[in-house]
Amino acid sequence: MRKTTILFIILTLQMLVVCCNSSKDFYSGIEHLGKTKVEIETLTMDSIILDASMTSFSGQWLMSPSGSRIYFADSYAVGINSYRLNGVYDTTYITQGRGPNEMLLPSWSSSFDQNDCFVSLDNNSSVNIFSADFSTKTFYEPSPWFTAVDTSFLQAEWRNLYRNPDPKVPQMYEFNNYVGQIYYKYGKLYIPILTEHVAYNPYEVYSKSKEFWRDSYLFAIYEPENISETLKLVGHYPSVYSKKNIPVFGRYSFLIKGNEIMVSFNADPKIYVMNIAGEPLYSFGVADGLISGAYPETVTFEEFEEHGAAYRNKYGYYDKLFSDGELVFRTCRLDNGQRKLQIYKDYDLIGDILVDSDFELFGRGCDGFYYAYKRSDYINEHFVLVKFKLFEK
Amino acid sequence: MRGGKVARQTDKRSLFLLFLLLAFNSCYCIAQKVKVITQDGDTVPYLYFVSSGGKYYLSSDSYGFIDISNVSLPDTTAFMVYSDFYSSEPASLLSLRSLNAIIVRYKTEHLRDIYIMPEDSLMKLLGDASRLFSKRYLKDYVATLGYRRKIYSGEQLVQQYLVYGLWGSLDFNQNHIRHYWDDRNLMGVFGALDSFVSEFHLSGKKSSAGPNKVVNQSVSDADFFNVNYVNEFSLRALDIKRTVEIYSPLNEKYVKDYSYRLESISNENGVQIYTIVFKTKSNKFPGHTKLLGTGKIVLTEDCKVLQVELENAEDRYTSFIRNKEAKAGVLLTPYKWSVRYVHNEQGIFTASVKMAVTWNTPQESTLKRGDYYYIEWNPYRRPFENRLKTETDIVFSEIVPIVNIKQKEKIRGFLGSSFGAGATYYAVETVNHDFWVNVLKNNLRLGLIKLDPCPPDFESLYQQAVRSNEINRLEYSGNKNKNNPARILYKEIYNKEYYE
Repeated sequence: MRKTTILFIILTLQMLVVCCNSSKDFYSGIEHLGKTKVEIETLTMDSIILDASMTSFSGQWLMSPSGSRIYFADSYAVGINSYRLNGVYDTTYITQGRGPNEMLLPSWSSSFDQNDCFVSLDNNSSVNIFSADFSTKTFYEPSPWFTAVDTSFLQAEWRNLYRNPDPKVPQMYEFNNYVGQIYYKYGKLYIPILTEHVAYNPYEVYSKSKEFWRDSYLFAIYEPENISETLKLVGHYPSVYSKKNIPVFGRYSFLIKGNEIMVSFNADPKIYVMNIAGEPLYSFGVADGLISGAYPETVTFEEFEEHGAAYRNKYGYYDKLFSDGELVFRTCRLDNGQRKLQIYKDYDLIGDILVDSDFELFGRGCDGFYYAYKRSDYINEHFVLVKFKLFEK
Repeated sequence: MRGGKVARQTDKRSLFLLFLLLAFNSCYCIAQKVKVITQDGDTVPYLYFVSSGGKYYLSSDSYGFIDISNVSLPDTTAFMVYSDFYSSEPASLLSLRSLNAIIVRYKTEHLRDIYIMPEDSLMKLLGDASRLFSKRYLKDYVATLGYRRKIYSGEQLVQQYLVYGLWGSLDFNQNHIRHYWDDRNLMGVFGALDSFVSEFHLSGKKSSAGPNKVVNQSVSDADFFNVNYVNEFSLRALDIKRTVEIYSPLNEKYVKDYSYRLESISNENGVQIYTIVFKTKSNKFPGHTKLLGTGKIVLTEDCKVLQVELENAEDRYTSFIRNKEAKAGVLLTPYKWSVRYVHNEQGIFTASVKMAVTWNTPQESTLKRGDYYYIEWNPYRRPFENRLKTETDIVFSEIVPIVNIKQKEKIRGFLGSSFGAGATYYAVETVNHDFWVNVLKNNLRLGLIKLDPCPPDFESLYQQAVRSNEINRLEYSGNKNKNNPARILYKEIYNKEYYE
């Protein structure tokens, strides 16, 4: 009896330790800021029609640094299509090639830095950086970043990594296409990353998915001119992903504000803020009552592939971030399929507005309007954007 | 109490009857599948039916069934077989709904009394032909290749591109290989000598058609063909040639996988020519042969194969290769394909390959991914609404057998592994415009038929090239190497410039 009791206690303690380690929260102990002070519940939106006939309909929307042009960076054709704020097509920057104003491959993700330089990760993960007027390519690294970081990482190292996955090794990761954004600020490139190692990934519970959610990194940050010495892996997933295996809702959106990285995860109502070393600082963000978070688990890659699209059409989640000065915007998909725009000012929720299903806010123009993508009209080969003003701005 | 018991029994009976009615209705709704069979009882996969007026289509799936459960057309809509191999009486939708099967006739039926050739004899003939084909097909040779691809929207020609190049057929074999891209023969090695691409003119649209290729797998099923397309030098016709050479009756190993009927016997220059129709036995696909459908082989009485044709056949060797089952998809692209072979004292070689594809939505198709098959990528978005059609003609000439290994490796090195997926329009660094003026005006060199007349408001391709500054567009290749390897090799092999 005594022996049995002792054994029971030992086993219980062991389980507690394992459970504690498993659900160790990277973000525990940080302050949660902000309150709910909703003042904006509707927005008046005007539609703008843009010619899409020369595009693939797939790409990224950007506002020009001057706020006077809308850019569409096509993901399937080299070129940045420029439109005036009234939707009229203007010109196309960057042609295909190796010339000073050219790229070899279409842009997969792009951004402007604080000096209006345009940076693009093409669909070979090569980095291209252009001057503000797109006329001159100031930097080009043809090797994908995970190759450029260490050119001595050869067959033997790859074989070893295959047998012994290690989340601290940069070569474990590739560009996280589910996130898609990149940023280039003050000489540093911020790239979202994901590892799908066959024995270390978020899909298979028998492939260390618990360890993945706890230990794998969110971002690779480096100076493009000196990746081998400056590359750092930072950021981790929050504990909501350790409770249940929900890779279908493992996506996140992020932005850079000064020296801080702001991240919002699909399955977590909080918006986390960390420094560029990846240390969590604080959080804010309000849960929406129409996002239950009751996500079904998937335990194999096949389940993830087979059910992913259906689950994302059935359950609500927290989606894309955008910021403008003291304002932070976040779109959400509700359980009932509707889409919502949350507006935060100084961490308080001040706006809670229903918007269109594909609504994606991308910039504020020099006319004071905010611009968002609404939908594509494939029959007439148009894009439809919307613009609105906030009464405070 | 008694009245209550009777009422309960009546309720139960009513419920039971209601259940039966619902079950019957749901069965009736589910079981609206019509089997398409020949008089011998064989199912016919991928057979197209067209309504009078040509507006609507139905297609049997890979199992030979037409599912008309969700076809919402007037019951009086009549459909007829649209095929070179089969025919049937017109059948209205109403009559199809009441049938379990529709019987189609071979178009050779009326010849039955005149030509009698048992299937065993046909199989023996094809066995001999396939052995001769395997033995005499040139193992290694080079040829010049003339390529023309035309894209139509309805009857309007919207784009044409032509390439003239050097093609090598190396290590010819008929071996089954798990992944077609590991085949040492593949679809040949190729280097472009010169190329020309017209602008893309779709009625009502701007001249620029946007990017050449969009393959975005994350779009919804409903938007898949609204967004995705691939417009490039399509090699599908040569992919299918490899599938035919390996998996059709051209390969002795697969002769038994098909059933045969004699279509005709003719006489050319004193030589008897047999035209034999073949059809895949349903239990042989995809476990054994990778070709499902109907075709014909034209051969001489001394077993020389002259031509092979296919109609709507599924090629599981080079497309949709992840499908391991005989998946019941409908066909979105009725098409005709053919290859012509020439026999001379040196051996057998390919003279030409042709393919003509149309994009149609069968009425029963839900366009849900996995429920359809198509033979090639649509060259522009919205292929059904834009009524897209393509015609690909490839002609080989100036055949030179390769006799030593050094020469073979040089050709393989110079010409690359293939010009296929990923190839753009811009296959060469510099374009010889005089060459294309001659070709377009006089149809020289490429062995092409006369160019179609252009509508009055449609510039000739040459006029377009001059007007729209095609020079810059055509000269760009992404490769600053001015020494075009194909041109160097051509001069070595033929002792002349390619444009002479």
